[in-house]
Amino acid sequence: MDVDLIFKIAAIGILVAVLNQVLKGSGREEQAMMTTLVGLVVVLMMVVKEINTLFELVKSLFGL
Amino acid sequence: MELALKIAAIAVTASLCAVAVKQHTPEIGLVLALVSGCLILSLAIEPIQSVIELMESLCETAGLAPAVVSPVIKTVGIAILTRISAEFCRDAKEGGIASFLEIAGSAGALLVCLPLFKTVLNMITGLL
Repeated sequence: MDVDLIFKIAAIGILVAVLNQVLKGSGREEQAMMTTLVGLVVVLMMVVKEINTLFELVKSLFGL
Repeated sequence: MELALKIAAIAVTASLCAVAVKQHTPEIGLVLALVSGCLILSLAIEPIQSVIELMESLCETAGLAPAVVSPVIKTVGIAILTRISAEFCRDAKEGGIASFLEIAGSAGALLVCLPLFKTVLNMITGLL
């Protein structure tokens, strides 16, 4: 797990926000929504592994 | 000291990033907060491990059975997991789900402590 992940997610967030604004400005509401959704899925795919690591760590540490 | 510095730096950086992201894409800001939480907690897990080891050695010196101490440690684990998840739900403005989760966590903690209660009860009935 690294701090890079935070910056990566922030970058994706800003990129999605910009794309969203541009698409909304040109009147493509559906595509803007799709972009947000895809961004969320991509970020979630990156994150799921880290969450799993943390939960496994807590599980083994506290003997749950 | 070094660890505290590292954790503080990560927390501040993550907060700044989250504020920048949350304005236009709140969902991704939420995920960012979750990841920073995971990161900070995995850094903090090492000190917790030392504390648990100390507790176990103390109990060994005092002659307490491991069965008496393990529910306490397990309850702490359940509390940490429940708290993280509930706060995440609250961040996502889902206070209802957070409340359900907290109730379920309390039930789990009680379940873990049940053998302890049974031991006490057996002791009392043995005395009577």
